[in-house]
Amino acid sequence: MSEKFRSELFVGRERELEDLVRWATDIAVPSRRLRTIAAPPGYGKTWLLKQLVCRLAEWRDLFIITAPTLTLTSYAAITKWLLTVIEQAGTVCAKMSAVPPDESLEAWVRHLLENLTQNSPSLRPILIVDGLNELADNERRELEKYLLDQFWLNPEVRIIVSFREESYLIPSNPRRGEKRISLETFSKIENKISADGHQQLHKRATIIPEKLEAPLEEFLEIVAPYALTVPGLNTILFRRARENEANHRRPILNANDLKESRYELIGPELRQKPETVKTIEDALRQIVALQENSWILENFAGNKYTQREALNHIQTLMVLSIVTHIGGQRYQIVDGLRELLYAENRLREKEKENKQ
Amino acid sequence: MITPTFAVARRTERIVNRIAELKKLEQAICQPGLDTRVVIIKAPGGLGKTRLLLETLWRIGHHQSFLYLSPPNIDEIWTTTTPVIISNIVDFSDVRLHTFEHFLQILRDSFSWHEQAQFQAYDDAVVEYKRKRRDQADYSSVEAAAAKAEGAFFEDYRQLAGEYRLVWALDTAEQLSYAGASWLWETGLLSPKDIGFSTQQRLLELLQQGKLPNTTILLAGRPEAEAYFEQLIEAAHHPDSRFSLETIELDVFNVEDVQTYLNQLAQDYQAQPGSDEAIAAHLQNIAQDQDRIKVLHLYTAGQPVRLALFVDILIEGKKEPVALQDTFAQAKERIQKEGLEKIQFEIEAEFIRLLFATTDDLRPRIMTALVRARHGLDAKRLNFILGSLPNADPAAWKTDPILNHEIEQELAFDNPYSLHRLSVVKTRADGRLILQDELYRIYAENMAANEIDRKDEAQARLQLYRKLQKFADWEIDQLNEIRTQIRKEDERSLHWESPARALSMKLRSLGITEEHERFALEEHVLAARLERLHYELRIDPDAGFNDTYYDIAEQMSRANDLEADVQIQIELWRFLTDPYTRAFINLPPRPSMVNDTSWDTLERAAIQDDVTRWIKRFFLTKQYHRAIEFADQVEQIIPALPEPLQKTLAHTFSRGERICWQEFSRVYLGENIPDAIARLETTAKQLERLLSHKGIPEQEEFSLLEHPAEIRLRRVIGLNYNFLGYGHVTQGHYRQAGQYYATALRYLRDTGFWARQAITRNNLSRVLSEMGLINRAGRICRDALELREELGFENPIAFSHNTLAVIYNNGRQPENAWPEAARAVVYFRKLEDPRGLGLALTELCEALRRLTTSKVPKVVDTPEELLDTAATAIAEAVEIFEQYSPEVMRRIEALIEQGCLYRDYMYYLKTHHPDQSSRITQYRNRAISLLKTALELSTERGFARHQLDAQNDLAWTYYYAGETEAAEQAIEDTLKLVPPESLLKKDSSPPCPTDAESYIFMQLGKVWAVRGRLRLDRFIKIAAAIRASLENKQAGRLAVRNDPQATKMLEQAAEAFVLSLGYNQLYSTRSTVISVSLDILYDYLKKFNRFEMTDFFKYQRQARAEYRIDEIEPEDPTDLEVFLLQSFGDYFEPVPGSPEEVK
Repeated sequence: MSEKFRSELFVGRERELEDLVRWATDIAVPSRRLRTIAAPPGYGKTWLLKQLVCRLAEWRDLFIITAPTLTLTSYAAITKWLLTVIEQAGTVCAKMSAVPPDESLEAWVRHLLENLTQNSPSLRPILIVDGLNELADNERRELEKYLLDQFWLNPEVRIIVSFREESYLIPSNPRRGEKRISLETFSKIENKISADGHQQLHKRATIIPEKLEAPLEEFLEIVAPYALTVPGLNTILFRRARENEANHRRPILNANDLKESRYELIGPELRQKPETVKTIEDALRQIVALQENSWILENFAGNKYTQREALNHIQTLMVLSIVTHIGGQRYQIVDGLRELLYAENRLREKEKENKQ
Repeated sequence: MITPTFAVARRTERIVNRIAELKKLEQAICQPGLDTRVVIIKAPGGLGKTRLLLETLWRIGHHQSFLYLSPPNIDEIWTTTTPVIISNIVDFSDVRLHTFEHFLQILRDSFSWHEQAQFQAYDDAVVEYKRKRRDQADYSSVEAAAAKAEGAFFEDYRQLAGEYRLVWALDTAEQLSYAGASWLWETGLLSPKDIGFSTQQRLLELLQQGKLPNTTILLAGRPEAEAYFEQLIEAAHHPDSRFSLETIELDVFNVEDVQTYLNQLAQDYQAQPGSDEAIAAHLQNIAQDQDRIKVLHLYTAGQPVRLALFVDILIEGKKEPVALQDTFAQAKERIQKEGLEKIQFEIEAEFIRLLFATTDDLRPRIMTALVRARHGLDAKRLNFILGSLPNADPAAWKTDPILNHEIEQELAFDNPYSLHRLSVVKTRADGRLILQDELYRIYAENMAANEIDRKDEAQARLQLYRKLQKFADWEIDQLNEIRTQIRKEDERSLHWESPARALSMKLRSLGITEEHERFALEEHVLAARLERLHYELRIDPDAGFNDTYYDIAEQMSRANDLEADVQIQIELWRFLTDPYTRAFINLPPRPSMVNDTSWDTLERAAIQDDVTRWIKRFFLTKQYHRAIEFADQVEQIIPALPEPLQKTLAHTFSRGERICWQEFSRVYLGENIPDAIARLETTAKQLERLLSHKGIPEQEEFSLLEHPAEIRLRRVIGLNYNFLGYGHVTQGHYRQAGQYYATALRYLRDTGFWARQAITRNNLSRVLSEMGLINRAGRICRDALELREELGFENPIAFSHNTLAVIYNNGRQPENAWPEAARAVVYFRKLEDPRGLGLALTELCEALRRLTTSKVPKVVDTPEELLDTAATAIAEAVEIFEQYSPEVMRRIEALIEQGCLYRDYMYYLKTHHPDQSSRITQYRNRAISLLKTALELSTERGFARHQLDAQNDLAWTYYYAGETEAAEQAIEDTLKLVPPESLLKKDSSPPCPTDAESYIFMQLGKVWAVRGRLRLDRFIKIAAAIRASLENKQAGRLAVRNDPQATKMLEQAAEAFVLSLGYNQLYSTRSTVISVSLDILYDYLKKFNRFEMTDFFKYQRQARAEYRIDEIEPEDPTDLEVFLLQSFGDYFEPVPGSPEEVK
């Protein structure tokens, strides 16, 4: 998400945050030293990690290493960045030994971590890698092999990695210490809108301030049954409504706005590939027509697709985290996005009626 | 390169441990000596039995067992003093291997990879067996060919065993056990001889009899095969034992074995071209992690198949299952807390997740299809499953070339990531893929763990099975089309230059290649039918059992195919005893007499079927007495059986079906037929009550209307009526038989069951033709023939041709009858069915005999040529019925026909070659003797119709021989045989056509015609004598007119012809016998002078008035209602279960 992080705007996720803080600050090294945070786009993985870093700032015995994921695309890039980390470590370590000359990345990682852990008082290293799935496959493999695996070798290191729901780490030693945190959507209260989502908009209006002229009820009525459960989506929708309002457009959101918001959430690259968009739209229509929250391959294929085609479609939807496998044979459109899709369909029907 | 899913669950290139076991196997194979050795390899599923067999194959020189491996290292090769040939693995999961003949063929093929493994004599003999089986030859002929083939096999085998030790590698022995009503064995109702078809039984016998020299049999199986293993062990320990036996009980892996496995796996994986570096590295890591190895050992309980799966899950799972993240200490603690089974179940759930979470790879979908389709899949089917829409018609569907390529890659042996290399995948002898048995269990247990998953799985399976059923349907259609094509080609090659050459043709002989093509076709047809049944049972067990299974079993038994009959039954039992399928099959609840599940009810229905099937089987194998006795014994044992089985077997439906077959056997033997008929009639009524809304309340048996078994009940009632019809035919009660056949048709309508419908229509047509309704009969018979042609079995087709010949003969259309009879003869000869051949030859004889006097169309053959051919045909028929058939009635019919043939021959010689007096006398004597024998036999057996026929024919024979007095006596004797109510009497109302069987009127017409001729002949003789004594012509004529003797003769002649035609009218107004009588009369009358004509005219009028001929009310052939009743049964009568039945 391109939205700039502001700690004061952070809402919800208290449970996950507390859990991570506890795990990160525990003096005893936990048996499971790897936390992976998995969630569909817009669920707030990045903000959670950023808020965590803020919270951990007060622990002076922690040495937080936040990897600039998107730049660590090769062995050389990792090495280069590592040197800056070592340099930074030098500023906090009382007695930092000299970097071994002409040594490998592996040796430098060892050097860094040994210095940190053997420092007096010892500095407990925590490596944070956000958005692992944003790298290309080969880049990601490099990062896992040269960064994660190498850091893992030091038994004091704790690692946090985030990626999209369907992603996972390649087979490696760290996986034995993995605990996965799957982020859920903001919960709704009594099936109405999410309190966290509401608070999120409220904060935005009061702190930034970013206010809608139209009453919030109007906004909520348009996006229903979407109930502000996906923080990233809330931001996008709210911003789009404000822009429309600024341009004197009524209603403040139409069906197309909702569709565009969907794509903005999933990833801008999609708009470059109209055939993929068509596939997605086609497949989504098929799923929505099932009128079931979850479905199996055979249902989805119906009489429209062969199994092979159905698999391809599901694959596309899963890669984009639109659809997720929820166990057994069942798949579903991810929470939040599903409700938004219903809202979009509802609006479209309405618009059609109005035209007629 | 992206490695496909489950790439890690591969077979290791080197076996893990099993050193002691391999040593034992090496000894059992390599130790010098010519003795017979059996090694039982016993272990629960997933411990590596198959792997051990494959390893044995590989080490002893059958390197193709691992196509993708380089030959073994020098230290792995087993050397022997005597050379060894080992078979491919023969896996008993194929139901067809239950029958010994099929097993022998597969065993022979499993040795064929070795160029020295020649079975020349067997190969020749088995062609004969297969040909007979394919042609649905008579059972005894198939049996004899099977025995010959077996003899040849063991002859070849002994020769080969003289040079090589022969090793049989047999897998999945637990599938061999005979499923069904075990109490039939336990109570001694069935003997080992009865299951001579069973591979299990025969294998034991071969070992006991010492018929397998220089042989080692490796028999791998789960503990479920224990009962059989124990039988073998007992036999081996018998003082006279001719074989030694050793048991290898495979143990689980120890920690070191797990370590070895992981090392080997890591090494194999790394050596793989294009292997994933990260996976390879991680496998290495795991293999070096002692703690992790111990954890894996603990959680897999040392079971190799689990180990393969768990390691795969570790590598490929989205995350490591929590339990597998444990340290050894944690793992021990966890087991204490949670129990091993629960932990294993949770880890295995990850495997299921992998199947569905991975959508970018075809392999999980292939695995899912395989785990659901236990029948096994090949590339064609996989293409259809994955590449077609759910409702796609396989005939119109086109393979997607890209998908096809991907599937081919998955199955390619040379692909290092081929499915064939996975440790959980097995390849069947026919190339289809199946899975290691444990996988079916794991999958089923996981998918049934909660209701949503179970329902999803049931839905997905249903879709898959429907597709595969459609595919099998399509395959069957295609194969049937080829079959029909072949039959048409064969039939086209049949043409006769003239009727006298009717015996000269046979179906063209096929070259060996074409023969083999046809065998393959038949095997393919059966395999496709079994496959179809497999899926139908899973889609709708009730319909599968009550409809398809019952139908296909009927077809196969009609086709004399005992092997197929058994295989079909095994398919059913495999379904019923498959523990991994039930949870996903929708078997709706149904009313039941006892408090249990629908599955229990279905299982009991299958047991009930098993019992009836044995009676049918004895009938099929011509053990008619055994069928009757067996059925009696079953009835005696039922009261001692436990409930609820007792109740099921004592149920009217169950008992009724047994009685049907028992009494049919009795009728077939001609034993106490009236009693049998009475019992069948009672049974029919009882069975019908089950179709009524009330059921049989006094027996607490509820109505089966709208019950899943309704369709089967209707079929059984139809069958019962069909048998009743047959019983009545044997008694000459054609009218009653016709009604029963029509009733049978009414019950069989809408039940499918086409083979039985065709039989019934065929039988009905024959009866109608006996009633003189030739067109009606021909129509129905041709309809039945069309049905039979669609079903494609040649034996019934041949019978239809024969029936057509009967109908045409009865209709005095010899020109139409002979080609049908000749065609039937050709078929029956090919089918080696002596009974059918005898029947067809009899009809051919009649047709040819009649052709000699027929005026249309012109025949090129001389009468003598025709009669000679007829004589050859009937001589063979008589011989057949004297030697092979227990049906006395058929013998009598053949004797009568032979008598008639010699009678006609004699008459022909008398009229055309009177100089050949000795031949004439000889033929006269033969005719009289044959007809007398027929008369005696039919009198003895109480076959009224045949008695009358023989007696009447005697009268004609005497008449033709010029023995007037004997003829008169024979006429009197004939008339004595006729029931008085069927006679036309002076000054009495004439009988109705329905007052007697039609044949009685037909015979009366015939006998009065001969009397008419006798009288006319006598009149002509007297008249000639009178005229000769007087010179004046006119005076002569007057003298004749005034001669009392002559007048009496003319008067009696007119009366005889009036009666003859009156009876003909009562028989059938459209009967051709009428014109035959009139032709004869015309020939006489055309020579009469005007006085004679006037008098004849007068006398006939007088006779007509006296006998009140004008009052005869013949059956009206244009009466639609009569037509409907005769052709389709009585739909006016509200039978139980009909829409009109009053509730």
